[in-house]
Amino acid sequence: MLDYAYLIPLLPLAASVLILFFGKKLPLGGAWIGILAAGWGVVQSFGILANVYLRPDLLPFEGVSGRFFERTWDWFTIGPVRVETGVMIDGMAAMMLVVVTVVSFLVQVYSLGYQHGKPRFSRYYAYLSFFTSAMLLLVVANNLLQFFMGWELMGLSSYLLIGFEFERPAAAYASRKAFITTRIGDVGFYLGLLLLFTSLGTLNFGLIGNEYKSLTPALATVISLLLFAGAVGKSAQVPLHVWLPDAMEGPTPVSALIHAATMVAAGVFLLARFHFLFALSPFALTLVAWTGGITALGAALSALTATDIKKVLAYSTISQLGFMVMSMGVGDPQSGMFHLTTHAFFKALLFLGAGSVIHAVHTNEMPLMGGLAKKLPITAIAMFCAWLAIIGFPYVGSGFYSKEAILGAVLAAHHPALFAVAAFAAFLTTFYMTRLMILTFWGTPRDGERFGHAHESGPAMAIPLAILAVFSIGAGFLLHFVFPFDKWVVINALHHGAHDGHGVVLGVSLVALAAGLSLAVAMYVFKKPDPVWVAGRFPALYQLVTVRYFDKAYLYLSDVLCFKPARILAEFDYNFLDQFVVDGVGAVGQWLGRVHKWVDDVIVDGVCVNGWGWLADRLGSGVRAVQSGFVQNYLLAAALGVGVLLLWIAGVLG
Amino acid sequence: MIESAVFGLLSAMILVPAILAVTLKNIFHCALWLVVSLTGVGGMFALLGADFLFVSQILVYAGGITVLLLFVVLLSGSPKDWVVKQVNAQWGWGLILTGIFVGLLAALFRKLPAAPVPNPSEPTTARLGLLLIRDWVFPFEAISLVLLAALIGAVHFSKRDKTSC
Amino acid sequence: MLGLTGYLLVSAILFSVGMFGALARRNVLGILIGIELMFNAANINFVAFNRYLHPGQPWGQGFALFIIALAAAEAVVGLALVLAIHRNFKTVLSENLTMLKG
Repeated sequence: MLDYAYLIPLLPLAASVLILFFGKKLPLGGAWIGILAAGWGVVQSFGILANVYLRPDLLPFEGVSGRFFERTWDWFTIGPVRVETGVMIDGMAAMMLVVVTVVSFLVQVYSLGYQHGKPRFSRYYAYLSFFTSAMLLLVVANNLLQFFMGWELMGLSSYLLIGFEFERPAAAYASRKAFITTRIGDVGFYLGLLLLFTSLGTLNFGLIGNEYKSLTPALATVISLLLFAGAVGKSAQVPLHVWLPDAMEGPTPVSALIHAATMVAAGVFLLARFHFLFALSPFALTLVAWTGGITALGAALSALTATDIKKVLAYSTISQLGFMVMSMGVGDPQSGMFHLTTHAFFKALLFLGAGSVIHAVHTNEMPLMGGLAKKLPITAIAMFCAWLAIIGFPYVGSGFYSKEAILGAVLAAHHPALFAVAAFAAFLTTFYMTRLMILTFWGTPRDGERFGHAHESGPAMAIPLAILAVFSIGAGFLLHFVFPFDKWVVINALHHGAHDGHGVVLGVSLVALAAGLSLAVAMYVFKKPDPVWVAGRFPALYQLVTVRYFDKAYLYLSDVLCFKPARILAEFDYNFLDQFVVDGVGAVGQWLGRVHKWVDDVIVDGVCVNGWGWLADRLGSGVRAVQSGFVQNYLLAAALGVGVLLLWIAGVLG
Repeated sequence: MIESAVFGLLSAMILVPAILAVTLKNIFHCALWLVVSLTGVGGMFALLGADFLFVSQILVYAGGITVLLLFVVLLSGSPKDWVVKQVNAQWGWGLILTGIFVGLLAALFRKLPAAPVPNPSEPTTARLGLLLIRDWVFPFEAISLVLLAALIGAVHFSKRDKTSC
Repeated sequence: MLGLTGYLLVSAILFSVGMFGALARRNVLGILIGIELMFNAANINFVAFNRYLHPGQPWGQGFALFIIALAAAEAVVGLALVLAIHRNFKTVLSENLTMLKG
């Protein structure tokens, strides 16, 4: 199993190429090739996971070479520089493999129903396979260059997939926005990679793990921050989070894939991989922790008032990613990876469920839904499971265990303010997710016509929902009690000792859950207080959570930096240069012109102008003969010149 | 001694076809003689120990450029162009200038000090490769841009329809 | 007769022959042929100087390689121009192409 781990990224790549070239001629548009490749990935990933679990002594990657499975091949050699490619499997990578392949497999099956009859069907599957392959390439990478390659290929394929329905300008715009925004972070990542390479002379994870202690603290801080910039872009952290809400323009299954298993997970994965480097720099850690905290809170606030069901989920993703990044910053990457795993399952389920709803009512707007539980029972039950998971319903939802672990780590790292932020974000999470469920499935239909046409989707879409529902409920329990996550996904971390204050964490999260739940029920079921009334009563508050400040800020910045100066220069040009200088000079010139008119008439015109004109005319006629327009004449002249030069050289030498 | 003989043969193989290539009436024959001459230049490179250049010369000139030339001859030449006089009005001047050039250069070379006889040459490909992607990597990338520009320019010039891109 | 001077002489004659072609041919394609010959004469010079004056160094050969690349670019653009000229003027004879006559 382990020896053939390289098959996991290569098979989807091959599938992608096959579908791209032959998809249209194959039955089902070649979709089955992609599904088969992903299915094989699922089987092999579980095999690898079992292997890792059964041989824990061999595998954990602790930033120390030789204690994990690794295979390398030479990629290319430039002089003394040897660049290799390879496969490295440790607990974290094995876990990610399972997450990515399972979600990708289910998304592809689901898309059979969702994309049925849509244009460019087989190209869609080629892109999906390519996307999966890029993420898997990144997960199994044993060196940073290969990691970066997967990272960038994922940027490309996310561009292709978000802009898949490029006929709509919004989709084309969103794909460009995602590509450019993440590219800003990638520049930082690339610089960090180069800096790491020049200071350590290697990009192999194991070798970096052996030698990173020789870095000076300042250098370690700079490298960490540069790598973090990449993660900020990819994992949609403040201030580069602006692309993710717009990425909703892609087909819904693609959103599920981007938000759950690939793309945004890559940034968190990078932080976990290089946690040992961040651990050298307290400043970098603090920055990471607070970036995560601010993102978790800000995105949760934005999710409160969004009416587009996918937008709510997008903000929720950003918020949950903030939780993960926060855990990286407080020195407990295990809990972050744990949350990444559980989140992958329930967020994929939420998106696929939302896709099922959208498929049924043909709108994203929650005010046009309502009461859909009667029409879409399977979707409603699945979404209910996901809801339990994301709000962290005690002991049932998988999010409970992982969020608990993160909150405990924050508390244990003595960040009381950050703990308060995180707890408040958890409260908001419960509130907006409950709001989403109530607005969509509860109550009476608000749009009778759409409600009448709605019907449950076919088995291709229902079965993935059911499987993911099982994962959403079971994963947390399984990974907490049966196969304790932090026993085998070992990451070299700051050890704060055992998490004390477990009771405090449990108490706080229960209070947050109860408060969020009851407030949401009160507002959206009993209308006390009515949300519309609240929005009208506190317009400032409503503004605060609705306006997308960062987008505005970026537009404002580009306005101030580019357009404003241009306008000022234009004003200056018109008012000063044109009005004063040019016109002033003109006036003076006019006066001078009158004074000297007679000089012009007599001397200039009579002698100079006409005289020179006459001369030029004579000369021109003479020179005209030279200008034959016949290229080889000119060539002959040039050769003559060279001949003269030759003569001169011969003369000097002789 | 063998080297001198090879040198003489190659010189003949370069110069005679070169003269034919610029004097023959039929432009198609000229292009064919050009191939022979350029192959001779490739042989000269081999004699000078430039193995990589020898291969490049054969590939790029004998294989690439002349085939392109033959294509264009076939595409553009109408047979009436093949039978008209092939020299222009200034060919006499050209011939005189050519003679002066040969004479001057030959006189110049006579005055050069004798160069030492070099050691047997070694394969050069590895060194050239390092030169191109390490020391001269910037000119190398620049020339790739030039080639790209030439490619686009050629497409632009030779496309018929000016409206489509 | 052999040695550096021999190579230089061959290259000088080749250059002059190419120059004659470029100066005297009526056909635009003939001019191009002449130019190619001149390029090759220059290349022989570079490689010969490299061999005799700086043996063991790759610079002259590297330069020749660049010239080959540039000659390829030149030939491509030049031939494309010939095609365009042929299409627009229905001729490839240089004395008919005197639009720039003063």
